[in-house]
Parts: sequence; C-alpha cells; structure tokens
Amino acid sequence: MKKTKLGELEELVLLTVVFLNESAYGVQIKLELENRLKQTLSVGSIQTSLKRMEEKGYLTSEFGQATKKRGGKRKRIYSATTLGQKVLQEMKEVRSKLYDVIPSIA
Amino acid sequence: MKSKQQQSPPNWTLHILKSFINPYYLEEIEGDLEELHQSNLEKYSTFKSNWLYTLEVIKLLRPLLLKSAEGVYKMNNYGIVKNYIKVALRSLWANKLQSVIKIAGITIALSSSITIYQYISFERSFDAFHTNINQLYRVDVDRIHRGAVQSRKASSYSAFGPDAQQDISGIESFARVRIRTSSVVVAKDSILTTHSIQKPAFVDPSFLSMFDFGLKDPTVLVEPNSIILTRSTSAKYFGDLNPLGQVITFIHGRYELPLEVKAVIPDVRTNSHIQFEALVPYHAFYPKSDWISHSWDWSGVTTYLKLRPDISPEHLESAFPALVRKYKGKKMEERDMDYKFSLRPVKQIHLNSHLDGELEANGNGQSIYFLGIAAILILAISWLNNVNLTNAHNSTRVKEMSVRRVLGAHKTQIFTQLFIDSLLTHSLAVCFALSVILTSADLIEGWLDISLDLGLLMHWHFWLLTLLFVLFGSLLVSFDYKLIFNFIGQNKRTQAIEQQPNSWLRKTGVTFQFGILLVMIITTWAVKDQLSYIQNYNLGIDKEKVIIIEKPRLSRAERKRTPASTFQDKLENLSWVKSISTSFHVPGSELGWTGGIRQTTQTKELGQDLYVSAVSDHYLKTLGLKLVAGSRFEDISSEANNHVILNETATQLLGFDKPEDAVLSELISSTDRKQKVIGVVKDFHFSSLRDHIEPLMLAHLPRSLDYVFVNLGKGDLYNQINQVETAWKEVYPNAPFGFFFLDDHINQQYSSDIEFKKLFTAFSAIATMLALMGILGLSSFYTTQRIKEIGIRKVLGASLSSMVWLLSSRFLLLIVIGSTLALPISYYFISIWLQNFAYQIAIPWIWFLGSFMLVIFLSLLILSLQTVKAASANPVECLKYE
Repeated sequence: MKKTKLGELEELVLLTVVFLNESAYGVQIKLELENRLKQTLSVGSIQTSLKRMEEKGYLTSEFGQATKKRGGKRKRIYSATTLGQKVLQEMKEVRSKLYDVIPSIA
Repeated sequence: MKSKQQQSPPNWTLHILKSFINPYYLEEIEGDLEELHQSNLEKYSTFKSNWLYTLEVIKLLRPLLLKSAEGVYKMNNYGIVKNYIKVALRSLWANKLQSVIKIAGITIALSSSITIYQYISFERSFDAFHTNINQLYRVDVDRIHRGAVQSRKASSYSAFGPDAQQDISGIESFARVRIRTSSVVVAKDSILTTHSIQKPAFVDPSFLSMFDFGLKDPTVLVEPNSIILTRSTSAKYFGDLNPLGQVITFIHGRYELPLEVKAVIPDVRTNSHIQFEALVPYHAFYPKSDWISHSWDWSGVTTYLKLRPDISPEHLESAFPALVRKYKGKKMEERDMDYKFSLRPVKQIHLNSHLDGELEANGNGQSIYFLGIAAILILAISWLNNVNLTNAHNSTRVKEMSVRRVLGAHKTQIFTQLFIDSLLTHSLAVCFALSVILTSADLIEGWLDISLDLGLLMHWHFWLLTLLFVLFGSLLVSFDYKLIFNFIGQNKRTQAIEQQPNSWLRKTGVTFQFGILLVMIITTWAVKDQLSYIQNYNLGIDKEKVIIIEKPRLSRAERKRTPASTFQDKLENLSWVKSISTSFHVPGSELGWTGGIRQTTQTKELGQDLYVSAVSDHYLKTLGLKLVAGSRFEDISSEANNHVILNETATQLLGFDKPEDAVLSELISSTDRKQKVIGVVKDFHFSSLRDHIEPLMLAHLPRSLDYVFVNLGKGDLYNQINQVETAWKEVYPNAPFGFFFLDDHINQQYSSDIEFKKLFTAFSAIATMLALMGILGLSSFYTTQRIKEIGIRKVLGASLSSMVWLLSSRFLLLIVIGSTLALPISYYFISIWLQNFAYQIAIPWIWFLGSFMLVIFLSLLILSLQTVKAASANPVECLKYE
C-alpha cells in the first residue's frame, strides 16, 4: 500500500464510481455522495478528485451521451480500472485488519 | 417570455469558465454545471440558481483544472513546430553555401556592430563614474579682441575659482587643476633616484571631494607637504615597499619640497578626461606669496566648479561678466579686450570639447556618430543579404509550401515556419557572434589600439537590443510569406525566377547594398587620404630625423655639480649629430602667448597677441625651418637677451608690409619690455593642423632649456640612440633615460582621427566582404536555377562569354544603379567630415571613380567565380536528367 495515496474524498468518489457502474458521471456522482454524506459538495472538488485519480490511473473515462438538459454537452462516464479496484480492496483490508485488532470501538 | 428551462446561466460566468478551465475538461464540466443549473432552476428562483452557478464556477478555479501556462498549443502544435525545426535544419544543411553565407554574414555583421557599440559605449562613458557628475562644470574662456574671438581655452585664471566662489552664490566648491611635467627624487633602500613625472596634478584639496578618484576625503591634501600616489606610480617608485609615510623630494618650478606620501589611490580609469600619476597640493607649489597662485592674468589652471543642485549653469554664467569686469575691467578697456566665461558640463568634455589647453587629447563626437551609422549600415547589409538569399531560396520551396497548403496549412502557419527558419539562423549567428566577442575583445583592442567597454555585455539594454535584432531580423525575412502565398495561389509551378512576384525585393536589396557599400568605401578612402595628407603635410619642419629628450629637473645641489649645458655639449661631440637646440616647447603642443605686442612707433591700442616660445641657438637649423629675412640667433653673438624671430604671420599682424621690413625693428610689449626683431622665419605649423598658422614669436634664451632637440644626421638610428643614452648616463646617472620622435609627438594630436580611420577602414572592409558574400550566394542560386537553360543555350551554340554576360549582366545593372545613387550621398558625408580640418584635401574625382571601379571589379570577380564555372560545364551533365 506504499504508493497508493488516496484521500478520503477520493476514496469515497472512487467507491461511488464503482457503485454507480455505467452511469458514473460528474453530476450523478455528486448527487449520490451528497445523499449519502448529507452535505453539499462543489462540482470543483468532485472534478478535482476525478481528474487526480484519472491521472493516477485508478479511473478511466469516455464521452457518453449528450442530453438536452446539459445544453448539448456530452457526459464523461467514469469507470474504475483494475488498479483502482485493487486499491479499494487494499484499503478495505487494511481497515478491517485494524478494526480487528481494536477490541471494541464503543 | 422564455420558459425557465431554457434560461442559460449568466454569460460572464461562462466566459470565465472558457478562459480559465483547461479546454480538455471544458465540455464535461460545462455540461455538468448546466445540468445542475437546470435542476436548480426547477427548485429555486432564477436569481438563486444563477448565484449557485456562479459560486460553483468560482469553486472550480483550482490549479488542477486550469489551463496550463503553455496553453493548449503544446498539445496540438508541438509536432508541427518540431517538424518546422527539422525542415529548417535540413534545408540549412542542403544549401550549405547559402547557409554558411547567411550565418557567417550575420555573425560577422553582429560582432562588428557589437564591437562598435562597445567602442561608442566606452567613449560615451567618460567621466560618468563621478557621483556628482551632474553638478560638475569646467570653466572655459573665450578671449575676444575687438569683437573677434581670438582663442578659446579650456584653462582659466587662477583667481577665477576663489573669487567666483566668494562673489557669486550657487558655487558649492571649486578645484583648480594644473598638470605639468616635474621631477621627483625618491630614496629607496638608501639609493636616490631621479624620476621625471609626466603627469602630476597640482590640485586644490576640494578636488578629492568633487571627483571620485578613490579617496573622497579632502583633508588629506590640506597639509602642504602631502602627496597622493596612484598605485602604479607607487609601484614604480617603491616596488613592494609600503609607500605610506615615505618622503619624496618634488621639484617643480623654483620649488623643491619634501612631500610625504599620505595615501595611495587606484590608477585613474582610462575613461577619465583627467589623467594623472600623483596628486600634489596646489598651494604647496603655488603659494599665496606667489603672484600667479591668485592671478587674473595667468590662465594656466583648469578650473572646475561644483554647483549647488538648484542652480542652473546659465544662471551662474549670467553673473560672470560682472565678475570679470570687477577684477579685470581696467586692463580690458585699455586693450579693447573682452573675456567670455562659460561653463561646460564635465560629462561633455571628452566628446565635445576641442579647445586650447585640454588636459588630454579628447575624442571626437562626430566620429562616434559616423561609426554608429557604419554599424547600422553593416547590419543593414547583412539583413539585406539574408532577405535576398532566403527570398531566393523560398521561391524554390514553392512545392513544399504547396503541399503544406493542400494539407491545410493556414497563412499564419507558413509565416510561423519562415519565422522559425530565420529565428534558427539568427540564434545560431548570435551565439557565434557572442563567442567571437567574448574570446577576441582583447585582441581587437590590441589590434586597433582602442578601448572597448567590456562591461557592456552585463547591461540589460545590450540584451534587449540583441533580442530586438533577432526578432526584427527574423520578422523581416518572414514577411516573405505573403508573396509566397500569393504565388502558390496562382498555381504556377514553373515560372522563370525573374518573373516571380517577389524578385523586385531582391533587386532593391542588391541595389541598396551596393549603394551603402560604395558610400563606405569612398568615405574610407577620403578619411585615409585626409589623414595622410595632414600627417605628411609640409609642416615646414624637418620632423622625421628629430628626437626630443627631456632633461630631468635637478635638485639644487645637483644643478651646482652639473651645468645645464653639459649634456648638450657631450652630444655636440658626436660626429653624426647634425644640429642641437633646446626649447621650452615641443611643436604640436600648446603654447603660451604674450599680449599687447606692437612696434615702438605704434600706439598701445594696436597691440597684438602673439604665441611665444623660448628657444636657444640653432633652433631653426635643428628643425629645418627656413629663414625668410634677417639672421638666426647664433649668427649674432651678443649678450643681449631681447632678440626675437617672428614668423611671417606675425609680421603681417604687426603691420609690416614685407618680412624684410620687420628685421631690426623694435617691438614693445604691454609690460613695456622692448624686443628686437633679428629675423623672420617662414610660417610653420607649431600646433595642430586643425587650426591655421598663428602669429609666433621665438624669443632667444641663450642657456640650455628643458627639451633638447637633436637632429640626427645620417647613420644607424639604433646606434645613434644608444650613444645618446650613453651620454645621458654619464651626465645624469640617477635619472632614467627617455626620448621621443618629433613626428610621433605631432601625430599624437590626431590620435582620435587615427583611431577613427582604423575603425572605419576595418568596418568598411567587413561591409565589402558581406556585400560580396551576399552577391556570391545570390549568383550561385540563380546559376543553379538556370543550369538547364544554360545547357540548352550551349547546345544551341552560345559562347562562353555570352553566357557569362547573360548571368552577370542583371547584377551589374543593379550594382551600377546602386553605386550611382551613392555618389552624391558620399560626397555629402565627406564634406561634413572634412570641415573638421583647417587644411583639407580637395575632394578629387578619383575617390568616386576609383571606388566605383573597385566595386564593379570586385563584383565581377565574385560573379565570375560562379558564372564561368556554370557556363563552361558540359551541357550533357545538366541535361541528362528529366
């Protein structure tokens, strides 16, 4: 896990992308996360983490459909790469191991 | 009204988005925002939605999402720029001759121009190192006699400084400077050595605080027994010894004083118009008790004033006439004289002041101006070369351009390509030129014997100019793109070169180049002729074989032991010596004058001012001066010390009709001293040829004077000098021997002209080379283009000479036109320059015709290199393909 630097928001976004599967694009990810976290997120923060993770190779993207609601602009659909999924798995394992060794959290 | 859904977010936010967000991400982000905006519109008011939208946009301004500094072009055009550079390099390589000519041409032109720039910058840097430079002025004096300016001097009266400071407000301080050869006796390791010191400066203590010569404390020179040495003078006298506190016996005039070395300062910078080896207090050798130390009659000192910052020099000058009248009024009225005192900024002295009594031979502002023009002309020639060659070359690249055009190249892209092309050439040339300058500046300085401002390369304005040069040069060439573009548009693949739309550009280029070239050659010729004219001008003096030895000023004790004439007597015994004389003055230097001389029968108002030199016997014979009437000093053996010889100009001025009339007449001076004219000498030039011959009176002093003139007869020069030195060592064992030739001394006053000649000749040669290189490149290009035509013509029976004519005639026509245009321009330049001299050479037609023929001859020679080769080639060689 030495090279996998994943911020909290980045991890959440990555998880959301995996969860949303084929329909993961900017607005959808934002809405999903806002729903779950019960707080508003800015387009800028979501976009920044998406771009950063794409740069790191955890995500790939391609243009999707344009809709009228988007003013004729195309969506960019994100999907996690194998590396991205592996990193999520690693994070999860590290965490669960840590939780295991802590006797009781409450 | 529009439905809510169709309302788009505020325009200005979209603008921000488009101009700041990385275009690669733009569509997606814009889409996302739009989608959110639409859903917001369903929930909230338009205002709130817009506000939320704006907020989101502002939050988007994060480094990761912004445009990179290089912009999007990096992604799109990187490849094509790389391709341009590759093509440019290949085409440089493919046309080696043209490339070498282009790059070498710009390199040479640029390094010459930088050298000129360095020279000009050095000449303009004179005296700029003084911190108070803007407050420092020198007092100049015009002597006006009966309304006519008689002399303009850089030196003024010794009382002027002190009296002006006392009477006029606005003068912060004044300093008088007098530089006169003296002697010093130095004790080192208990051995006494007598040195002659050429340039000791007798200065007021305030000199130190007014000027920046490395010691700003004026108290150092307040004690009369102090002396300040420069570093090299100190090294000369004391070697490695600590000079501070050492005592030097200083001999000047009738004083012989022990002075203590109080300080050692750095050597005077070469770009100072005041040069000295040591500083001595003025009041030590010109004490109050001496009438000349504070006199309104003796003008032997240069006076500098430091003005209060709020005082303008004009304001101060307006107070001078009253000052002069107060102290000198009576004498002025008696003799109908007037004096105009003026202030000259110290920073303007070196380039603009050419008065009598300058401390150093100054530079010439006009030469600087001419050299600046030469630098620009050289650059212009090299640019024209570059434009011509590139332009000619481009016309062969039409195919390449057409392909690029078909593949969708825009006008700006073709422009960019040409620009990158010549940017590459220019950058290479700049690198070469800078390495030439860096490695050979010392060589150039030594070779041309000039000083350059080597620190120039550290200045930002130099780099700015270089950058401008590169950009302008590259742009100049790139504007060819329009012509090329039109040419492509015409879709004519094969067209005779000379009918190409851009050939007029080349024609004008060649015409201008050769015009410039001819101007430079004619000017060089004129400068060379004029200078050799004045250097070889019959001065009326036999100057070649005369050497001058300056006798040391001995201390009182030594004088008793060695009579003044001992050295002279020893020389007279040498068989080959033709004649020996002594004088106070060396021709070519400044002379003193005496006022109010008239015939005894005339009234005081008719008094004239004459230059006066004191000489001993045999003076006329030694210098080869011709006697017009009367007799020489040595012919009349008399104890009388009032014998004088006049020159012809003086006899006319004093009112004698013929020189003979003056002989044996009696003259009287304003101080009622009577003198008897015993002879009249033919006019000779005792000062510079820039001036006309002035009236001169040679006064006879039968004793031995400071300068010994030896007219060496026939014989081996080396041997003769050795024998003179042996005699010297016998008479003056403690003083170092030194001598100089009279002609060298006379030529010294033309040093700035000689410098100008050398520089101008060198740069004209360079300009010639550049222009010829250009025509070589161009003709080689044309010849290659027409190689098939030549082949066909030859097959059809054309002769070699007709082919050479065919290939060269076009150039010759242009050269002739350019040269013809240049003739009047060069005439104009030359006549301006010649106005510097009182004795000018007449402008002969041979300069023009000769230069014209030279240019034609050289161009024919260069042209024939290419054309003969092409015309004599076997036609089969060039026709066998295609």
